[in-house]
Amino acid sequence: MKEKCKKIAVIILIAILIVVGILCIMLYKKYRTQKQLAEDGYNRAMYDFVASVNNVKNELAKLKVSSNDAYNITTIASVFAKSNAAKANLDLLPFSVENIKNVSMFLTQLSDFSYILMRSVLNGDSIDNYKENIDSIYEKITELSNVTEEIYKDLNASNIKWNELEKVGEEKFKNTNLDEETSSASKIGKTFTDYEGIIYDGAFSNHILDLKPQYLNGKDLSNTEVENIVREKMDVESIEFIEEQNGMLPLYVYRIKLKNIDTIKTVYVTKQDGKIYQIISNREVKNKNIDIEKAKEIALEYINSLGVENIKDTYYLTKDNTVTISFAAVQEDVLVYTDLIKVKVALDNGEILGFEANGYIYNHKERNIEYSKSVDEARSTLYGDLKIESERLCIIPTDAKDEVITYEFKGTVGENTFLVYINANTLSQEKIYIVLETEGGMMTI
Amino acid sequence: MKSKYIACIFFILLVIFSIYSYAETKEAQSAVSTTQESGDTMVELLARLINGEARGESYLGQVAVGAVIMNRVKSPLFPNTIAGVIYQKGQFSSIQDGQFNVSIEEGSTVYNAAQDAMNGVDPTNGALYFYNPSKTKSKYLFSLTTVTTIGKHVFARAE
Repeated sequence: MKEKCKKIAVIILIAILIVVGILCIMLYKKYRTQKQLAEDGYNRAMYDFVASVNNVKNELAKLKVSSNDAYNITTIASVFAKSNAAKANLDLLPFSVENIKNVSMFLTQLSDFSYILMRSVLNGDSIDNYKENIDSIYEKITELSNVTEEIYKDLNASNIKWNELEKVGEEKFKNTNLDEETSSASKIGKTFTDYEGIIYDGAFSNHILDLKPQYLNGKDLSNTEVENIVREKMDVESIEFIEEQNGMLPLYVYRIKLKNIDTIKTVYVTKQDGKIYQIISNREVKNKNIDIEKAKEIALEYINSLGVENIKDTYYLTKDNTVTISFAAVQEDVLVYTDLIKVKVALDNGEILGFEANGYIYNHKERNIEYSKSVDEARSTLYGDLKIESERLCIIPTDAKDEVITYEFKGTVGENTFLVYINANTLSQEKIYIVLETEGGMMTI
Repeated sequence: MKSKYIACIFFILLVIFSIYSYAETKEAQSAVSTTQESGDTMVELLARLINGEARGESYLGQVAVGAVIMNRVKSPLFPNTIAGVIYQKGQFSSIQDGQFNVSIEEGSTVYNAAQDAMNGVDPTNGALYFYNPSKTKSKYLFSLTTVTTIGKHVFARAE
């Protein structure tokens, strides 16, 4: 009996050993394949990155000697495309984010700069005005190109491994001086983000044109002073001070319970001038008792109650029985798309669930509205088959972080609806958007 | 007698391998079933990241995580797309440990939070980083200027 037990134990032991052995081999093989796949991906991204940086360098070299504007434009277009490609590939590589910061910033600025340069040259500006910038960028891209080629050579010669790249990046990239003053605007944000489909709130969402909030002009207030302002503007039952926030914009944060409303709201108020900046709250909204038009009225009334007049609704987005409505400022019948306030309304009882005035607070100011061309002149420049549904004057942000007064034409061609913006002074076409009507609201691309 | 032993061993091997291969297909299936179709892929992607990083947090904490992603998309220091930011190497623990693939529970607030973050709501006042101080050892993260703390997460900016 004992003998038999022993034999069974030996059999099981052998079986387990074989299984463990085979599993180990299988897992190791799998690990090798996965590792190889990952490294192939890195290799490809690295190769594309090195090639793109080199391409940018060569195109800029051509730009330095070329004297033909038509040729220049295609060259600048290539710089734009290749700098974007370089950044996209850089982001795929296993460098640590801190180490590639200056490279990433440089490539973004290069992309912005080349785009703006392209437009300037197209509008008749001479490239000679930008020679100094181009020379300085050329120097920096040459330095970057040398560093990347060095890393790539080391990788190829197996002097460094992919998992050591983080350290290599620290040594090589961190000390590469790429600070470039070509477009100081890039510090605010980048011109090109792949937002496709999420610009629900209209064509020009969240364009911050200046680091200094234009709407705030007074002095910094104390917590008690701001709390009193909040009590004045809202039907407060209880208010609790949470913190003073020193991020992009100095804010006071409160947790507030309003009379007759159960939802607790987090309210952000600017330290300077005490303006309501943001309100956040959430609850499940089960029914829909009011329509969008009524919600717009409620939202507008709310904005007015906070002391903001001359504002008009533009776009909206519905989701789970709530609606988020965008409002833009109006001055002398001109819609100012940059000065945005968004209000989220619950469609069961009309409660204000959310409020956000980032665009308004950063961009709103009294504009000098001047234009020389009539709407008829602007209309005559449009594509002939565009069936126009509406037209109006509006101020829109440009890619160069500036703003411009335009005529907005909404029209259709076939099944597609378009928004076309024609400059009201120069009649040049500033922007075209495609409008998509979705279940939730209107989107622009 | 000997052939009986060998048969025994083979049988045990067979059982173990079938269990192993069953487990493998099961894993593959679960990875697929979490990728549900939704009207907007961008909202879906952001909602899944919030779910992976902050499903136990308050609504405010969830919007805040989404806002950091959106702030990165807008920042010249980070990739230009939501997918680029989320999948950037070594940036979010939920991508590395598979929490990103955990399916979103019925009635979860992460979709609303993702939508709010996309609409521009930002409880972090422009933060580009967040971390759980009890779970990270990164000196770099601790060196950043804290903007606010919501639940377990610290939200920070680089100077």
